[in-house]
Amino acid sequence: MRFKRNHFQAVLVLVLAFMLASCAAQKGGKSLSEMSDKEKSVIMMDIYNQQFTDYMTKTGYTKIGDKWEKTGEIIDFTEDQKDIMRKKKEILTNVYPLITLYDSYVANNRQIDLATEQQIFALLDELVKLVD
Amino acid sequence: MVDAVLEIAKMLLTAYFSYARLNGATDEEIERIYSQVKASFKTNTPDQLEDIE
Repeated sequence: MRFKRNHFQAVLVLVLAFMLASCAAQKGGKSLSEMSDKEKSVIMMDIYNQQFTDYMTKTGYTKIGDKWEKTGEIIDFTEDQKDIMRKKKEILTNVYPLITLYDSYVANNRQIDLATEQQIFALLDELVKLVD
Repeated sequence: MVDAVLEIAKMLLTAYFSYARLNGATDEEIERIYSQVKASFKTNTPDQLEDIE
C-alpha cells in the first residue's frame, strides 16, 4: 500500500513539474542564457540551499533562526541511499566555494568567469544525475 | 526508484520556482530575492554537513 502511495506521489509531482514547465514555456520567459549574472547567481544559490536543506533535514537538523541545530536522529538509510548522501555531500562541498567565487564577481560587478559558471552548472546537473 | 524520481522532480520544481519568481521581476524585486537567497546561502556552509557512516 505504501509502495503504491509513493508511486502516486512521484507521478503527481512529475505531472506538476511538467505543467509548470509548460506554463513557463508558453509565457515566453527568459532562458537561462538570457538571464543576468545576478539572476543566475540566485538560481545557483537557490538550488544549493534546497539540496543543503534536504541533506540537513535527513540527518536530523532543523534551522532555528540563522543556525542549524541537531533536533532529531539521522534517518535509517539503505546502503544505496548512504552512497547517494555521501556523493551529495561531496558535490555540495565542491560547489559551495565556486558559487561563492561566482557571486563575488557578481557583487563586485566584475567580468564573470565562464569556466566557473559552466563548472557550477555541471556540478548542479550532477546532483540530479546522481539519483538516476 | 520512487525516491529517485521524487528527488529529480523536487530539483526541477526548485529550479522552476527560482526561475519563475525571477522572470518578470523588477530590478528592485530581483535585488530583494538576491539578498534573501544569499543570506540563507551564507549560513548553509558545507562544513555543517554530517558524515554518513
